[in-house]
Amino acid sequence: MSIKSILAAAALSLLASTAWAEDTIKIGNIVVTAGFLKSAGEPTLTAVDIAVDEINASGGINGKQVEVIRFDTGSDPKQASVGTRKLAQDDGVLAIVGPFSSGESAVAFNDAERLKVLMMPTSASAPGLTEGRKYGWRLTEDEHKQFGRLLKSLKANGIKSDTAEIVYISEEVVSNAAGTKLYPALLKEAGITHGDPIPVQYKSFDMSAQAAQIMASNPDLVAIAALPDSASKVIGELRRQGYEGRIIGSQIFSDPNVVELFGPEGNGTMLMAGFWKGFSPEAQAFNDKFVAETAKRGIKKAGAHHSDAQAYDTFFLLKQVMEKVGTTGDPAKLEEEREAIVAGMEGVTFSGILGDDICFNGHDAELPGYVIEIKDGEWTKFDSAPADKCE
Amino acid sequence: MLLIQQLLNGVMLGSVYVTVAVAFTLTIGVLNFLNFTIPTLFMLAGMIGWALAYWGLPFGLSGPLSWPMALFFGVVVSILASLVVERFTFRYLKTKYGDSTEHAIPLVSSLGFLLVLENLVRIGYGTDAQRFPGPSHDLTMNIGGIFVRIPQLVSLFLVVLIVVGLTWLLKRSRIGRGLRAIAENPDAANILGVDTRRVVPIVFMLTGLLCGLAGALFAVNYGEVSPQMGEDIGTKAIAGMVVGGLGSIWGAVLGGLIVGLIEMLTIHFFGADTVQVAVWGLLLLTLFVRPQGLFGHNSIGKGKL
Repeated sequence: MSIKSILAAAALSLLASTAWAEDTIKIGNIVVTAGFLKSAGEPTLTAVDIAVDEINASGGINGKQVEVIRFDTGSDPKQASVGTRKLAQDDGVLAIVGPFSSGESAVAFNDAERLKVLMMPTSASAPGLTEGRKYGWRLTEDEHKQFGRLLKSLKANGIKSDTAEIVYISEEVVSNAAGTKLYPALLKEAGITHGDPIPVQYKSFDMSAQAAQIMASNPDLVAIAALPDSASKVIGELRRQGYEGRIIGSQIFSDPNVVELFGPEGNGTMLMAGFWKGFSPEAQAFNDKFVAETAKRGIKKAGAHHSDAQAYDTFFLLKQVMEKVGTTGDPAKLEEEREAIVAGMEGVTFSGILGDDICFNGHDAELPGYVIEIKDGEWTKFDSAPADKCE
Repeated sequence: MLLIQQLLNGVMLGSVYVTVAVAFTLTIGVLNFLNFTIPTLFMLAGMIGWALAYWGLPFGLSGPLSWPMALFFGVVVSILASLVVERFTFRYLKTKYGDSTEHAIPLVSSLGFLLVLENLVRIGYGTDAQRFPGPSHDLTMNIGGIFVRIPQLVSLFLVVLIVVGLTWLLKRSRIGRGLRAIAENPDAANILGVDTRRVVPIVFMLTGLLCGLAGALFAVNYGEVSPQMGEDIGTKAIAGMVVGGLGSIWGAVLGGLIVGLIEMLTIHFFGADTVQVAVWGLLLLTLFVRPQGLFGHNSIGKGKL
């Protein structure tokens, strides 16, 4: 084969790939597959892949296949900003699903606003994150609301809850906010007296001093605001020191994998989740598919985390909105179509595996909450709270 | 009563730092080398132990191993990894570049090993903490309202045994005399017939053994392992070693215990956020007031084991 024919073939192939690229609906996906959020964030890629495969198998969006372009932040919020610029400016995506965490989203939302592209984080639950944003939306439920629901459920179900102590990770943004602001306010509102929040550090492995402090007051409840690793250490130490009361938490360590991590000491722990596999046959099917697919990828998951379900539903929400506004994926109309998608989010209601008729108050979805109890080594639904109405 | 509990908690925590601090002291004392791979060697024993107890041997050679057997293999891996570090940082680079690399290159390359090994484990097993299937966690005694965990008591006893054994090895055995000769003056030791190429790997083997045992005891005591488990312990053990005195085994023991006590008392009185300030403040104060540490020698960095 001559050099000319090789060059011609290469040029044809380039043209063909360009033509194909223009014939897709490009959606950006800012993910985490490295760094300290790796374990929490990596399974979300599977949830996204499942959603995209299902959408494409059913004909795509407006007859075009969905093309996902990924950017990995490595758990670094600065990289979330870089990723937003890359996806919006270089790759010309129509919308961005992600970043994963509240910390990354707080940074990346600024870029999304500047670049005028819809951004929907998959696990950001810090209160107030989307306030004042035009392009930042969330299909997640905030910690404040979910923890409040848990306290109401405890009272309603006659679980002794007159006194509490709070333990939180001081150097992690969401845990710190929950432990020092949200939990104290909500416990006070619920008439539960509590001591000063007790900090622990993320890297600390020995929680005996904090557990001894808690045991001195022996409260009815210990409210933990911590990532799973730290929550596990606190729970283990409390049980070893003989604590017999109820341990509670919000969404921060709400992952079905904690059942195994906490071990027998975790029995009786109650926490909030934004996803329950038994909500519908579709939710159950997603959960089963997710567990099987993550296993194939070498990731061990006992069930889908609500952030995985949120990522899955976010793609179907985008499909619904893009079909409503007639998104074509034509690069010549990129800015116009991005604006139309954001406009299409206003007043939208959506039904998916998270809930039915999900609406948005401001830019935050109103989602149901599920009170989970770890019981006999199982992730069980203790109670549920319906989604709030939208104003 | 609460204060007594916290003091006891401090001693138990300090015993975790002691073994790692002794490992640091050994390499500083004999080789004048701050071995940054020590936290990773500690982590390897725990993570490999967990992986073998959970998954079994690779290539389908066996099902999950019993936890003591899994930890035994974890300790073996720590020792082997330590020997690899010796071969590729200390020996190879010293041979290749001579005295100009006496301190800097082994130190930097051990830092490289720390990061490479830790991240390999992260790639293999993720960043999550993993529950170690050790003995029952109900093994707690309540003595007049003071909780004492039996595995921690056993660990403390083992730590004392290890340190006594190491002291005997250094003071009484032929290997120990060789090690001490190198610690005093490597060139003179060579002239006097001490084969440094044979003796130096023993230091690394002992380092791997100490870190491996510490990692195994940690997995049993806390019931949890993670790729990050060596980070905090490594830094606190360095603080303990410096406070106790560079190159002094018993100094490292005392320093480790002091750091554990300071940590617990700081949490008790001021909260966990002030722990780093207290521990590293103590280290700085020690360096200002008594740079050689509590049990160290005046010739800082030239340990006399």
